[in-house]
Amino acid sequence: MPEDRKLPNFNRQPMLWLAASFAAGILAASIANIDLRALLASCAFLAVAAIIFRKQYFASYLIIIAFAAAGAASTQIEKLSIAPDRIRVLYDNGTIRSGDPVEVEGILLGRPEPSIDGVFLNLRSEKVTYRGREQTVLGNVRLFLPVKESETDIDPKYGSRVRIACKLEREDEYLNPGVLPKREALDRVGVDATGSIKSQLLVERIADESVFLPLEWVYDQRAGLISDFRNNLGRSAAGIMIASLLGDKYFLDKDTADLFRDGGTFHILVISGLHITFIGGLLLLFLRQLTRNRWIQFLVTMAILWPYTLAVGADVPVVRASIMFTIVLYSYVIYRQGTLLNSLGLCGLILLVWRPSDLFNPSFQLTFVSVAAIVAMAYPLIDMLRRIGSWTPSTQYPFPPNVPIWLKRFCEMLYWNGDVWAVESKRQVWTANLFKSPLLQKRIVGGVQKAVRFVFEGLLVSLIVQIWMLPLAVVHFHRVSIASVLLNLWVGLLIALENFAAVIGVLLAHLSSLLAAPFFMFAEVFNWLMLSVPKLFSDNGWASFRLPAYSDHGRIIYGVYFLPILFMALAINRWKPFDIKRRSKLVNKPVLYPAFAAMLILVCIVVFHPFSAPRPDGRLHFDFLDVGQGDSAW
Amino acid sequence: MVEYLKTIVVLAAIIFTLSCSGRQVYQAQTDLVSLSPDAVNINTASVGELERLPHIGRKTAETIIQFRAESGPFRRPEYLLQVRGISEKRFLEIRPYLKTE
Repeated sequence: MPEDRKLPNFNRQPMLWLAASFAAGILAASIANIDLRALLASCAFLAVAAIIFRKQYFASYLIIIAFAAAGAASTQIEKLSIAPDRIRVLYDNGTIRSGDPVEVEGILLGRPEPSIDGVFLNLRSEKVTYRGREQTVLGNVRLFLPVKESETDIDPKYGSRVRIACKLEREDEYLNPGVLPKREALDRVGVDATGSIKSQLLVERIADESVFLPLEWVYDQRAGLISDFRNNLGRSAAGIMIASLLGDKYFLDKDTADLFRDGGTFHILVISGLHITFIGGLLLLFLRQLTRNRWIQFLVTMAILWPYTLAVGADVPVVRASIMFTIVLYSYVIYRQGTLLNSLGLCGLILLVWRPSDLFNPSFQLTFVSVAAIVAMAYPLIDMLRRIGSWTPSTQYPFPPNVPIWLKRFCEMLYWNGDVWAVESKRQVWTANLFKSPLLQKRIVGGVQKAVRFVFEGLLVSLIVQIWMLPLAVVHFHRVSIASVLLNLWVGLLIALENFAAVIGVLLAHLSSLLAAPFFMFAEVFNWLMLSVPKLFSDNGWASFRLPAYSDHGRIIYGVYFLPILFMALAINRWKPFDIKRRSKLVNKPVLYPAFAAMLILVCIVVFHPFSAPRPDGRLHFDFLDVGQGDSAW
Repeated sequence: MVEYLKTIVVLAAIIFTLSCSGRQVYQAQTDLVSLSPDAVNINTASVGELERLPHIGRKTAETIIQFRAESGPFRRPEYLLQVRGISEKRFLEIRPYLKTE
């Protein structure tokens, strides 16, 4: 990212802009009810106008507005496309009463998911019989079948057509304020109703439908791995391995899950970019040793990565990560350099076109905001600091960076490599005497410098992600963890080591349990170490604190919060530390300082609630809640 | 490169075609149970008839009748498990004495 480069006469992140305008359209359509025909007509009109005036500068704006209209139209289409025979409609309009016994017929989507006390069946329903009347239906239902520990390998398999007698539920029960209502939670994950089956005898397997055998194989392998982890590791370690590698969180015991939640590190257990990059990167590294053909590298990597994505449940974060990895790898195949922000935009666009309502899905928001924080702010900042610290005179940058001396010294401490400069200076016809940080004269050992750099970059990325995620953490979890800035690094490192040891152990266990034993022991040790630090924070009450969320119009604050952050990201990306003509030495002061101040004020408003907390009037107040059973709670 | 792509596409098509398994129809478990000659049709049985079944008292029999009236006839004897008070163990003991047609 050379700072002296002139700005190109085209946008470097067109997909990001298109995704943002599409999302804006979805948001507008969810607030106001806009006529679908008007939206489609305006979309077509704007697209045609953009083609006609394609040489005019405003054609780009027409395309952006057209995408916003398309986003709004897609939302309306999604709303209108809910068929009247969808299970959710039948329950919502009272045709079927929640909790009444029904018989549902359908096809199993995926293998029954094992959990500690039973299995979960995801069913694409086709028929429902209620009070003796059979009717054709649409929609997915999720059923829990309690089975004994030894019987989790139940009769119906992936693709089985089954008929199940059960009680389906879709009713909102009383929830504490701020908790997501059940219906909304179900709609977000594409499930129309949930239920439990009293006995396995109530599950009747009618037939086996055609299935995609490789996918069945993947499901079987996943089930086998779950069983291997459970048989060879302790409960806590097995639960963490199954959650972090196979995307099944049902085996996490409560204490472990609470530790992850309290420490703000639960996201590490969600399969997302970290896992996909790790797996894809390892595959690519291996394949590059076998062939230099980039197409083969790409296709083989995709052939393994996408089945893995499907096997672990294809949730929004993992699909986002897989699409992004595919785009970046494809750019490598065609000898281009993929920009991460543009790739992120394309991912967002694909997912929103597929299901516009995902915009309001917490998983979608969390994964996109965290990645945006990394690629829009953390990476550019680290890149700038690296270039400041490793500066040597060149024709492009003959002068030292024009930044405050403390910053220069700090960056040199992290990034200056005297050995590289010694080699470089010998190649030149000229000589130069560089005055670097005096601390460097003590010759920091390379390994120590690398370790300090790793910790600094990790903390910086973690801190930036936490700042970006603050509103989402408050809205969705009502909890903010300051310790997570540190714990993310610790847990991330240890869980990677534990994963590695456990996977090697499982692979070796098929050959010899003696060979595998040390690896399982290492996995247990890493697990203990990983949990010990969050436990220390949690036991002392330093891990996190609960926060109330603003409601109604007050929620605007969470949107406004992102404005100064975006300005700061823009300022960092436009920072020219080598520009000696500019008087400002630290980024772009007119933008950065007010944006930083605004962000601090907004953080205080979000955290301390100065406008919503009622002042104590010195009297004791009781709030009674009638729970309708001749009883009350307060 | 084009040759590579062609081979890959053809191989992918073959794998995809072969990967789809066939449909197989299973016989329902209901038909595999040997019924007692004096089995009771739970869709038409009265309280008295149901009471003659082992482990079924008057109260349970009435609950079965009420469930049947509200939810419609039982398609399979196993659906009796949905009735409150009928456990899996109890059901398996009375299973040979139950029929639905």
